[in-house]
Amino acid sequence: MMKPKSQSQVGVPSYLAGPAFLLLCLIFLVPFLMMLALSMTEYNLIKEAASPGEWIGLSNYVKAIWTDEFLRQSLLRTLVFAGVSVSCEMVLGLVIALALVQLDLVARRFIPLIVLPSLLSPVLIALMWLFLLHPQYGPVLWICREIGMSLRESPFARADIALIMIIIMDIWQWLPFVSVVLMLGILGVPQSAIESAMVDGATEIYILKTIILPVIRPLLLGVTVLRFIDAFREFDRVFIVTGGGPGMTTETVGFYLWRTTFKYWDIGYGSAIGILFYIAVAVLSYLLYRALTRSPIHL
Amino acid sequence: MKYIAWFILAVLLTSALVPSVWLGLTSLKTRRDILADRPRLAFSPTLDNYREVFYSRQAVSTLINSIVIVSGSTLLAMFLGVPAAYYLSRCGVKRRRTLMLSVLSTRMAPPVAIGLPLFLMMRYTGLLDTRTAVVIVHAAINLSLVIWLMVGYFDEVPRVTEEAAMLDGDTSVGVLRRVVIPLVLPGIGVSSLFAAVGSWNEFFFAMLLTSFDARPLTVSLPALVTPQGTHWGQIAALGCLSIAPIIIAAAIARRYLVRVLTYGILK
Repeated sequence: MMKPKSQSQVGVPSYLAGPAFLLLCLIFLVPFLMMLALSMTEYNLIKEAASPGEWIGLSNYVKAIWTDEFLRQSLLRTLVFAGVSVSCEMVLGLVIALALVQLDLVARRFIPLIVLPSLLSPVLIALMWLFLLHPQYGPVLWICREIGMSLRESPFARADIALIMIIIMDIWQWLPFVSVVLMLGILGVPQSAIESAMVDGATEIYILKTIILPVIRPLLLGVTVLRFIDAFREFDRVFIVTGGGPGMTTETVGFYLWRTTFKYWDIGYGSAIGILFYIAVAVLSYLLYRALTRSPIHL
Repeated sequence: MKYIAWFILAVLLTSALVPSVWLGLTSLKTRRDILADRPRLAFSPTLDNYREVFYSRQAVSTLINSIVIVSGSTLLAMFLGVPAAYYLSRCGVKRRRTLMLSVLSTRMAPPVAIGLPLFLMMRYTGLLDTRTAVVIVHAAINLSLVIWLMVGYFDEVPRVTEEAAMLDGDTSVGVLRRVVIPLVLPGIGVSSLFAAVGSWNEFFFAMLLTSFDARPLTVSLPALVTPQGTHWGQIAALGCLSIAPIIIAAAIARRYLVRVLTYGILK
């Protein structure tokens, strides 16, 4: 008589996963290795003087880290952009979530409509905003004029507020999503715990700090890191709405990298920035995660 | 307190919907109404903008490109992602963790950074400005979504069902096809729906890898904004055509929306 097969024998053959991982390697790993190699060469498709592919070791990295003022500025700008928009989204999102929880079922029914902005393409959002804020026939600026503000030009064309506008766009797109996710998290907090704390006469703030926040903590962390990674890589909307301008006031690292590689065709240097960008995303999100998990206020 | 909550809900809904509604209204306006000094809410609607879109060979080919790219990349991502997810759901804990994280790490990659080598690769293989190039890249981008979502669904299928089929002498592929897949059909629906949305919305790689022939909607839309003047009516009409499938997708899969949007941090 045959013995029944044990758990391990029902193992699924690994060739089922092969093709998928092959494609991932082809599209993500191979380019990374190519960049690593290219980043150590002097390779510019426009400059004829430089022989293509001349090995120059780590000079591109030295240039990027120590002497490139533009890169440093765009990095700073990107950190400001990501930091301000993500922290606004998290704080406001938590407040909104705490309010929406009271509506429970009603609010849940509206989720698809509330999160619609996060499902639209960045391109479409950029174009909609350009139109809504058009200096001549955009309804938003028309309203601003009617209530007495003197706005003659598009806010995206003003050096002093262009970056703020990009931040507002990001908040508009992602705040509803963050609120909904946190709302669902709070709804998952066991009601009995809250009720018994209420019976003991705990204040709402106390309940928030000792019951709700600890329970939704992993969610808060996850959403923060996820949003930060996305904001740090910002490219599409800046590309369409401001093109990095006016001046360089909205140039993010992603946009600067695009300019270096696809406008100046400085492939060697662009690859070095690309590698550093890659590392920066990984390191920053790891640090952010660590900082948040160890924060003394116990989020 | 409840009034404040209602107020906040109303503000959220207004802010989320007004731009899209305005886009819809604009798509029904004549050029004169669009460019009026004061924005008009009362106007006589016209379908001219849509007619213009469907009469323009360029706009139609752009729509066809989008549809081909979306279907191709979704099919590819599903054909590769579903078996991979099945394997990941059934392999040991340790290997699963490593592989799942490496899949997720592709979601962190800055597109602009890998753009250049991909551009060079596609130029070398002569795939630049073909829909194939965009299909391959979009499929790869969407694999992490498909795999993560599908692993969740496969985890819910009890192994006993497979073991029984295995004992009957079926192969793994056979078991997957005949026994397991029918149990995860909702997951397959949701994953393919949102892989399609991702591809439909993707801009950067589509822009990078196409120049004219293979241009999808997201790339040709911003090209309508020119210094010489912008045809907002046509942008609005095309924009509505690009929002419509997303609204339909969101309506179909409303129960799964949050699960999709937070894959990687929530199960």
